[in-house]
Amino acid sequence: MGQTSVLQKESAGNNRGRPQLRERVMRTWRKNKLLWLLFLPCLLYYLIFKYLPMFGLVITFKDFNLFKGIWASEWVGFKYYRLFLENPDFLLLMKNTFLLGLYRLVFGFPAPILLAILLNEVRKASFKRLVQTVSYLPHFISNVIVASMVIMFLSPTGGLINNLLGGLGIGPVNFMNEPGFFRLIYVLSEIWQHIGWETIIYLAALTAIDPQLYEAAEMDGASRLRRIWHITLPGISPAIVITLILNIGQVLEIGFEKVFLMQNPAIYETADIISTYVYRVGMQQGNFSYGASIDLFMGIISLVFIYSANWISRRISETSLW
Amino acid sequence: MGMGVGYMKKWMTASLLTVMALLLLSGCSSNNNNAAAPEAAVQEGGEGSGSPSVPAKTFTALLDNNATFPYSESWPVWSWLKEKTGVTLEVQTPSGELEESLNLAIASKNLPDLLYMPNRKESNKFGQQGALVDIKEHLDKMPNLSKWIEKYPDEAKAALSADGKMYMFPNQGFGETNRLVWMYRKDVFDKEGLKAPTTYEELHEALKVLKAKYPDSFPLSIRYGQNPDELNASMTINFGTSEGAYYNFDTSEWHYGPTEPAYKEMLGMWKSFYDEGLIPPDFLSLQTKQWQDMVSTGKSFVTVDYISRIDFFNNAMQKDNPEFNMQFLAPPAGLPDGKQLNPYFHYLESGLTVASTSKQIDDIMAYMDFFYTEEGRTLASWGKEGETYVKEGDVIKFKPEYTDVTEMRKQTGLQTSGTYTWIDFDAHLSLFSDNLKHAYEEAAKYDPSAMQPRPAFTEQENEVISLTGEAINKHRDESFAKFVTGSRNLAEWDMYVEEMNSLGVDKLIAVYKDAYDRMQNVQLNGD
Amino acid sequence: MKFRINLFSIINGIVLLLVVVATLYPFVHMLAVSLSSDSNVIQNKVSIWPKGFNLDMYKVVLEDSKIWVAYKNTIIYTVTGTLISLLITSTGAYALSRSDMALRKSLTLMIVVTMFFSGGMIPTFLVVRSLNLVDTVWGMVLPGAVSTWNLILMRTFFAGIPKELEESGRMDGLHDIGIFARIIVPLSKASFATIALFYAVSMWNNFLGPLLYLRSSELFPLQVLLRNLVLAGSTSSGDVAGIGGDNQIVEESLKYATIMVSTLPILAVYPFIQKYFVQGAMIGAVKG
Repeated sequence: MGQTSVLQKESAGNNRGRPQLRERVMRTWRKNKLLWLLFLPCLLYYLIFKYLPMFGLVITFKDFNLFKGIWASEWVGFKYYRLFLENPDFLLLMKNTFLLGLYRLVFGFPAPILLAILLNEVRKASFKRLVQTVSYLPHFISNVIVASMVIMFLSPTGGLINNLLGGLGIGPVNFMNEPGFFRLIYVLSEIWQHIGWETIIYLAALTAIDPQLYEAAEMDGASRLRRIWHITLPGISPAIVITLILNIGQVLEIGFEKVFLMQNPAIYETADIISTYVYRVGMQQGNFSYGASIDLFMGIISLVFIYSANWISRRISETSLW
Repeated sequence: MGMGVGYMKKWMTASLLTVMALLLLSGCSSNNNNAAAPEAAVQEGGEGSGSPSVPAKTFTALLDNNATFPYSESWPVWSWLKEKTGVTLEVQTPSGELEESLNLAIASKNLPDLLYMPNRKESNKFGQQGALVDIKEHLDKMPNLSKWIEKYPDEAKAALSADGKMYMFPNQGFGETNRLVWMYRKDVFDKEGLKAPTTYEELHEALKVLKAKYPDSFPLSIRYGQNPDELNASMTINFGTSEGAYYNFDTSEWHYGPTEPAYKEMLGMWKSFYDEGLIPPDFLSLQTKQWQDMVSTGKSFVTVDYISRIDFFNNAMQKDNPEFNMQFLAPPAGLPDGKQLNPYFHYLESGLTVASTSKQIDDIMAYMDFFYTEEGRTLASWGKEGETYVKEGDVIKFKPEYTDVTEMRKQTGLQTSGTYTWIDFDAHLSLFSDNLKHAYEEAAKYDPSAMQPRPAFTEQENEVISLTGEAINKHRDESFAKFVTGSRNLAEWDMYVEEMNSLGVDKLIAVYKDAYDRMQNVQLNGD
Repeated sequence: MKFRINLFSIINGIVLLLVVVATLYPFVHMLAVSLSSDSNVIQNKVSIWPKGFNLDMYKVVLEDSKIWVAYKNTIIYTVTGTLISLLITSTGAYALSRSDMALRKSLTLMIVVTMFFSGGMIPTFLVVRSLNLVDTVWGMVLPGAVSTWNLILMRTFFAGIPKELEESGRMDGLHDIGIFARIIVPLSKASFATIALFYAVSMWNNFLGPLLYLRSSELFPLQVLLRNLVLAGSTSSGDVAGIGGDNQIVEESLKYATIMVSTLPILAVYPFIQKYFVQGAMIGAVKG
């Protein structure tokens, strides 16, 4: 039923501009059909596994009853959105989430680029390989273990860092009890965990640079830094811009697990973020609707972020997502 | 901006295409919806090896799976149960968390006959949604459970849901291993001529002596970073209050612990522990590993944890250091002339439920009724006479080849998910070390006079508890941390109480009171 | 001049060495603990060298006959999954990288939107179930076949390939698919290697998928099996009845032995892939 009415509307709307439109469509089709064929598996994937399940977003306006199913659940309108906005901690949670994401972006994003550039300057192939291989190891350690290692390293009673600081006559510092340290600690641990992994993207991008450019620059007497600035960076700039845009879109998407494992009540002031809040609320009851509503709310903000980032990028550089 | 508009049009076209594809696809998928259903009812009368008197039946069941004694189809407990009841369970176990598997099973309307639920909150939620059978409606077919309910009214009441129905089979006798107790290094206390403290004052003095003798140590340490909720419960009951809303049996009123004067006393005590270096400065984030290291390397001498940790430490440490002696410590009383109490954790929240979609509800009720007979209890606790246990007069004993609870469960399947409701805890106890047995006997002396009522809540009440309760708990935890570490002065206590009240403490207590009053009026034996 | 170059190299070398130390230490520590005796571990005596060397924990992990089946499953899922993912991602990315592709921007936006809105676990499960993918290899491979992130990265790599190459292909009479297969793919070894690695690692480490979409234990991959092995000790909070005596305390050494067994094979993939990261490979091909 719904299908035919949609089709009718379509064809009715098409009547007016028929001749040009049909011709244009046919021309595009002839030109593009093989490209669309190439794209077809990808399109199907997104429709089936991403868009089809989105009917589930309806539960953000319903009191989701798992047994009755999504359609039979009772409508509650914007109740869950209202509850979230009325939460006394709402502003604090938003601020903490945003700042943590921002710190991660500002410090975490350039780190792998820097490492890739340094690696690019290494002449000895075996050393380069060693650094590459070793630096990506931490990516394979689970968050549970990373969080517990971080806490133990920073412990004021026998932790490695405090032992080192003690040698310099500082401390001991109770790192995990000071709200002021949390963001720094989190971001450093993220860098440590993922720097080698994220470098791979830029190493791949570097392969597209013509080595003759370096040779020419060397003959002109350009210094290392100048070569990095004028050859290496422009060579990988599309990759940098695209990952930057994607990362801006992910600012609010902070993995729940690691923050949850690293936080404690003494540092809620800075360490309590949206996802840990959702977890605490969800623990009390399997409230799918509330969690999904918050996700959707955050998704809208993230979309605004990435949209703006893309818009700006299109203005000032040649690279953009769309 | 103009660019944006043209763009949105294209985007609209794309979405329109998407919608059409979705409609098509959802058409297909609803056709397939029933495809997976028939597989449940396949293995009806398989091999007829059961005894001739009872007709063979097969139920499907989703049970929990414990990593230490993973489910096995060949466990003898299944054949013993079949001998008695004629029932074979066709068991599925969750691939990961039980709760996830339950959610998926219920969402896909593909329910096994029997479902093991991790806690009452889940079973009550799904029950109220219509997924589970109200056991009370079938009590007329369950003579043994009816009798049992008369014998154990409190346990039965705890299994009730807010709508007065019973979705989970009640249990008794299990859960003892959840006990959270104080323990101490008796060898160190003896060596320093210290006696076991009975009050926090004495504890404070003893810790100070130990700190002076062992300046590198933090005589008391707890796993607060890993297990804050249970530890809060323990710390507060020592001071005669609670970590949240609680029922006072003397005044028959509901109260809120963390704004009571006794809670302030507790804060003051922990603050002195913190200030004097008697607990680790990072106790708020202390990891299990760090705590374990401190206790085993003689950096901490007193701790609070699960009762089985007594064996854990002694077994590991006595190999290298035969002196090492971790023992049960009676809970110190916080207030002058206060009671020495441990929190009441020895109940079991999990249990079996019956799916409302099952075709064999009556047969299942008859099967489950067996577990409430003496015979069923003995089978579930001890196994089969001659095979797992022997009788010496009235006393039942495991055969000597069974020396360890975990091994016993691993080999027989006894006392694993879905095989018991009513248990003789002696069966468990008889396999523990002497130290641990002693601890269990001692621990029972410091139980609160009655179990805190655990009223079941309606969905609306649950919403208050999760949202208002979350805000209150967070402020409580944050303030605890600040008061103890001194970043907030305890002189601001009155201000803190006001803050807590403004977050809705009264609303929270009212929810508990309403739910409790409602449960008081429920008749247990149906009409 | 010479001096400056050397100074840069020295500083660079030192910085990179520090990176090596910082990232290698935890792995060496875990390896040492997994090889040490439990009384040394519980007293925290092990740092980077095993004390009371023994292989007991590895025996515990490897003795379980199920682990070899799980290894086999993981390899099947990883290999099939990576191939399928690469195929869908690369063809899709190539189409999107072409500026003459109609609706390109709308489609990109449609894809990016899925990074922020998802129907959630249960609706996705219902879709997968209605397609009869539960408890099959396809259920492991298809629901996560395309990562938007990887798709966009690959598109960026393809967009960097000089347009003249496509033009010359067209002169030679190649159609769009021919250009992709004969010109783009051979020139993009580094990007294929990178994206293949990303997919392989996420397939290898995937345990949420199997938990949702697999029922029979003989289909379980390594991660699920090993996670169940160490699950008991990781319960940190939750309902009162969830913890306590039913959960045994898992030794640190067992946990780490498990990590070693489950990650070493996939770690070994990266060094093989590095040979594709050669600068100028593409340019060389263009000129040659």
